[in-house]
Amino acid sequence: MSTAQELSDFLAQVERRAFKQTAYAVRDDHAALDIVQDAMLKLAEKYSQRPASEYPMLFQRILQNTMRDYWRRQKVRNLWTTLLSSFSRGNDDDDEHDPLETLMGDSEDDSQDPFAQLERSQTIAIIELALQKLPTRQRQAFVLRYWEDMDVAETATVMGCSEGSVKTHCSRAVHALALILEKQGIRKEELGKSGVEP
Amino acid sequence: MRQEKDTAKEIVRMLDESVEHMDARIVAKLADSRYRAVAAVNAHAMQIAGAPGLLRLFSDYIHHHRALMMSAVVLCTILMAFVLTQQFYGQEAMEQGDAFLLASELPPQAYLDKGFNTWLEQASQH
Repeated sequence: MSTAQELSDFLAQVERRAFKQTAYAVRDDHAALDIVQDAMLKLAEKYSQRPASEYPMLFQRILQNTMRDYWRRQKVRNLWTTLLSSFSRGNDDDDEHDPLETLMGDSEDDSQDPFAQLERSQTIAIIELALQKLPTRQRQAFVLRYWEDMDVAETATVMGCSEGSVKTHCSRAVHALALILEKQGIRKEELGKSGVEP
Repeated sequence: MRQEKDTAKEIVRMLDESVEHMDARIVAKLADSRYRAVAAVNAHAMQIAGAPGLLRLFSDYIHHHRALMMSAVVLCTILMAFVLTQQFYGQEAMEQGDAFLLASELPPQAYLDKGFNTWLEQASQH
């Protein structure tokens, strides 16, 4: 049985990563904040009596389910929006919009910051966009396995799939990320250089 | 495999850095959410601590078996509705029976007499 302090410490430890992870999935900061808040409350209300060692798995499970609920609601909302917007069609020139191109364009204007800092923030932004572009299951596997530092079995439990699938998703995710980064002119060695000092 | 892990590590290192430099407003909102979650736990703990022994045990049991309790409540409601409906229906049937007997030209004893129906049929045939 764990205390409120342990719960607070755990949430403080994971909340930022949880937010980022959710934001990559839903691509909306406000929605991501709501989802993380919901997940925190659910964990506190339903599982606060569980041992603190179970929190990471439980929280990830709740977070994934809350995201799934969000997607379901979005799907219904989008269906209505599509139906309604078919009556009033406007100019949809933004369909061909590539966020990576926008990012590169925007960052070139930011000449006030020191060069290294700019380069680093650009790399981070490219990684984040690349993560957003990954298929959902690959992103989930990558984030849980490498960022949340879960082992293959834990990741499989949270994702509700086999360990073999987790390995496949992870491998594909890393290769896809490496490819996207390379296309943007970032190689692994440069990635290491532009990262924080160990 | 080794190269794959190294690449993943480098990406994660960059992601960790992005987390360190998150927007202050988002960080504040996340902290607020955390306080709310912990406050919910504290409020529940206070509620339970304030209750005497048996009540606390009961409250704890209900908290941990919420789904079961909800099912029990729904079942009880259905059962009560069934019993009440049956009672009203039975009462109505009895009232109708009484009204029929009172309004009938024959005395109630005539309906209890088993030979009466046979006699009535034979009498009506002649």
